[in-house]
Amino acid sequence: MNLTPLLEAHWINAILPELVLCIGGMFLILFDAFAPKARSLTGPIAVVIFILCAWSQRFVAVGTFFGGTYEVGGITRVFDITFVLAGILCTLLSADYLEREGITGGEFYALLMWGTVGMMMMAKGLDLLIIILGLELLSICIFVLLGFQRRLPVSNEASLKYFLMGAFATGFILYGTALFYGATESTNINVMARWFANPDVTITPLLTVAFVLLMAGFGFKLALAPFHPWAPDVYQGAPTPVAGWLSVAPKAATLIALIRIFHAMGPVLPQTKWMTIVAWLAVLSMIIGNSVAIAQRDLKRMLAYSGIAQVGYMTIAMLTINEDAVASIAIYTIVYALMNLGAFGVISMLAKNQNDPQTLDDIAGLGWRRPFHALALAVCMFSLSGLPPTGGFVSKFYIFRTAVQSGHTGIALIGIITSIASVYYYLRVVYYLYMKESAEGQTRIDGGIFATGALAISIIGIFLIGIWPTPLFHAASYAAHLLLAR
Amino acid sequence: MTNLLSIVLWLPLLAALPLALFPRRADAAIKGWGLFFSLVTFLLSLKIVLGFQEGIAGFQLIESVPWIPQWGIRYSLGVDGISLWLVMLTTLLTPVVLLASWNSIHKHPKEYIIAMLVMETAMIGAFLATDVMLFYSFFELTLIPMYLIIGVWGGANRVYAAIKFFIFTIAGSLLMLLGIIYLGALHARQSGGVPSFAVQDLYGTALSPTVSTLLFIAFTLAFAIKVPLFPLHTWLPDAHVEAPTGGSILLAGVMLKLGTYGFLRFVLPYFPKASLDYAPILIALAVIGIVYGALVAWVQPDMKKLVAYSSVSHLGFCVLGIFAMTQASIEGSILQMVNHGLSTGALFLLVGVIYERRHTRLLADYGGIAKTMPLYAVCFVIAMLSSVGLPGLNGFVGEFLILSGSFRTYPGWTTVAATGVILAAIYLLWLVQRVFFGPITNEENRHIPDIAWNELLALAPLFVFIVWIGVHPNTFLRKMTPSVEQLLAQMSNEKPQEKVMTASSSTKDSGLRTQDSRKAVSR
Amino acid sequence: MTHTFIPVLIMLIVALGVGVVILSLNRVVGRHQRNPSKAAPYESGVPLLDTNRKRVNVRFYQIAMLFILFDIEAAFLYPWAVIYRDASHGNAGMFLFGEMLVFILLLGVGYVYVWKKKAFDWK
Repeated sequence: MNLTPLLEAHWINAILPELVLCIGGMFLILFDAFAPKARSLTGPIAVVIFILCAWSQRFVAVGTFFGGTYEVGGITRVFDITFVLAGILCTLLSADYLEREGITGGEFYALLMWGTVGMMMMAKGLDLLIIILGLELLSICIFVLLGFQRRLPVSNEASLKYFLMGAFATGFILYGTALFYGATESTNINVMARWFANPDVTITPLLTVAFVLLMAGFGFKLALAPFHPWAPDVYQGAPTPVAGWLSVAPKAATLIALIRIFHAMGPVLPQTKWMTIVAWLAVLSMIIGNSVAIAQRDLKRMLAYSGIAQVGYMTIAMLTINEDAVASIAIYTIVYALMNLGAFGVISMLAKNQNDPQTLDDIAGLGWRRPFHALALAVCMFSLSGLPPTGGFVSKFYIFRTAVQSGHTGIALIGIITSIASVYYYLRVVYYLYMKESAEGQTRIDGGIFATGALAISIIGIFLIGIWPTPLFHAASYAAHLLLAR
Repeated sequence: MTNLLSIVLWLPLLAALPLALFPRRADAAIKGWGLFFSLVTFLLSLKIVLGFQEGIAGFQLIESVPWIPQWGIRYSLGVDGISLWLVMLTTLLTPVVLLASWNSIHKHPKEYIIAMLVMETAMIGAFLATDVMLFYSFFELTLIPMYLIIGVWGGANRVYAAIKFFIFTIAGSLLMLLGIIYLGALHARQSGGVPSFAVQDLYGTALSPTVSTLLFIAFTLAFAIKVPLFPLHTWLPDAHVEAPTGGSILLAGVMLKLGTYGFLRFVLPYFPKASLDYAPILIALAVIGIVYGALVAWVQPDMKKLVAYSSVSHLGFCVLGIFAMTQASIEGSILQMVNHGLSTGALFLLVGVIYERRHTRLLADYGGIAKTMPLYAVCFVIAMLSSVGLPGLNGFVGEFLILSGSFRTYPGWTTVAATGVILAAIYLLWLVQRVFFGPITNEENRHIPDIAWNELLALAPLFVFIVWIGVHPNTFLRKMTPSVEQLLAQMSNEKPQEKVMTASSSTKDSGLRTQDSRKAVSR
Repeated sequence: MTHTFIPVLIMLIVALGVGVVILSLNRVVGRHQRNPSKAAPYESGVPLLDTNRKRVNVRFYQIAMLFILFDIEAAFLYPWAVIYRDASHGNAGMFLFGEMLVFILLLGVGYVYVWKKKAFDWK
């Protein structure tokens, strides 16, 4: 037995960002344990570690590592940046949030980092088992993060719900993987791709079952309808910055993993109905997400349903995997991270009992009380509804353009029509911000320097991508080209 | 100045940014800053007119740099005969609006000025853009400030009106976005994978009849909602009644023109076949709108609603002129867009003046106020006559050109439309009679202060142009003639033979515009 | 191929048979008496001191969890130790050794963390 080939040259460079985050997380929990008095420093330290992780991307070696199970390339770098960005925004928002709620702890940021490592594994995994391993690492961190406010019943409820659903979903994914393994004799995506590329391959019903199981599992993680019902409850109960992070980063990781799998299956897709299933998931998500969101008064629940619809849009682009599809999803996830975390960020500043819902009434008249925070929320809402000149417009345009060019005009039309409905509930937030008078004893907005900084990053990012997206497009489409050029 | 268009475009927005840092108390400084920069923008836009060369059909003063090269989207600006006067209208109306609302905006004046300036940039951008995506970006950007203007500074039922306005318009424009994407994808395929969204590049895209019809519907719906054409007009009265005076002026004066401008710039040249096929339907809707709008205006008890419905009627003339597709009717349409901006702008302003003083817009509350506000009454009558179409004032020229041009291609509908002119005279004259003449029935009307200096100053430029266009329309018409000729030439590839004849022969025919256009063409 | 599984089948049948026979013998032969002390949760004759649905101090769980955690992790050391000598040729030896060092380091960090968080203190 010889184990050396498993370690290619420069393997340590390949996982440098992951190592930075792992060690950073360990440092943080020890810091917290040894110096509980200096606990409020853990937030800033976490930001520094995340920035170190982003900086370490410069030294990352590109290629396939660990015996063909781990692929580092342009696209994983783009997604790493998304994960780190989401991590930084969440950390900044949490620093003030945890302080206010009196639950500051190094563990929080450590879990955030380890969760990010899990997502990086999902993005880079070239083997279904690595992807599942990453998914589980991520999920375990999420379980704890969701229940971090352990004295609040809603937080516990969220954690337990996500735990039960998540465990179920992982079961589905594992079972699907097992069935694929039975057919293709490998869990390695490249080996599977070679098997699928064989012209003699026949698609047995068992393989369709495997695909459905896989999609059901990943659908849970993505909160695609009809696997979405956990999302509103979990977002509502979770600590708000965590809800924002949860609505963004794990979805991005799941999408890139799915892109790899779909790409491997590419040759057989024309002779199956598999993509029709995915198309139906997208359509259902857009319709259910956008229509149910209209009825929501709780901001976090509304954003949960809006998130369901947004994932629906992203799924449209995945119906045909090509360079544009990959690039548009990469860009959408970055923009989505900025705007959704920005929106959740403003909600996280609402200083009220976190066990009560944060409703539209809490933000009434905010535009005249706290102009900056209201502006941030309004910009995020306009971006989510896809109005120019925000990043939301550019990324949504890219998604629909990709769909139309791949011949999915009908589904794009459904997307457009449902997004007209979405404008209503996004606008309603702006209506409450600027056109409602604030009442006596109105909920205070309590945002410190870190959270305000996070909002500033969001606004600047949204407008920057909306007005000058070219560099990002270059990076994303080049990375997508490298991913698909095999 | 090689970047003249960019400067005119971005100056209002750049002026709005530092306003955010002004202290809330510095009321006069904020308003003065906004007014000053909108005036500078207007003066700079005069340079566009001076630099505009007559006799050239295509875009002038072109600026073009890549914006999103991956998709072939460029930041490209230009003016031609169709957009020139609409840009001027925008830059003229913004200072007018700021001046008119000098004393009438008490709530959050800083944000109001910012919204107005952002609005100005968005509208100018929509008229100047020569890239479809750039146009679309500005087209939708106009919605955000207008939504806030109606929703924050509007009347009692403002939120309903604002949301209705937003949802209606965005529903149309999102469908158009899909149409643009589809058109762009087709163009990229036909040009061998080189994507472009430049207005002219897309002209040559070959479309199958079905695709052409579907895209035509997508584009037409967006613009028809904006205009608004007859069955889609319901958002307009709500929006106008609830909007503050300044918002109404910009909404009626400029924003509605984005719809008619869109018909001319995109719908006719992109889908000539479908436009010809469906022109009768659109003309029918336009004429129904003319008569319906006039009849509804007749019975309105609310002055502002009356003016709003008169907009539906007047914009119907513009659409009629566009889809009649003759040289005279289209030039008349463009002129009528400007006319409507001037006269309706003045009317909304004047209704706002009296509302400021009495806080009611109901006709029944007034009567005989010509005695207490003589100067105001004079102004109102001028604006009203301009809107009615009295010869010698601007409205007459536009309507006459439209009707004489349309009569060639659609005599029946045009005859019906002509009743709209008569109806306009009826409801507007009746309005004046009920408000200004007769005995003073309401004691409160005895001591209304007359029109103030800032309001008079705001009205003055409008009246100057009302008279100018009425007396010497050729200043304006001759600059648009080549562009309109080119538009019709593009259309004529698709036109049945005899209709081409009519279209091109219209320049030789009699009527008011012949003398003017002869001069313009022969020069 | 199938016949190799016949012993397993026999084993299964015998096991099932023994279970069923013993249980049913008990039912058929034995005498049935019902009284409150028989229905009690514990049948050892001593009356219950307290309710059986009693909260147990969370520290018990904490200790139990930590025990399982470190116990299971320590169990990973055994397979490693078994194959280490056979598997270590050249660089592989260093690799395997390094792997185990990292593993123990992770355990150590966890241990120190738990220790400093005073999870081992009973108070």
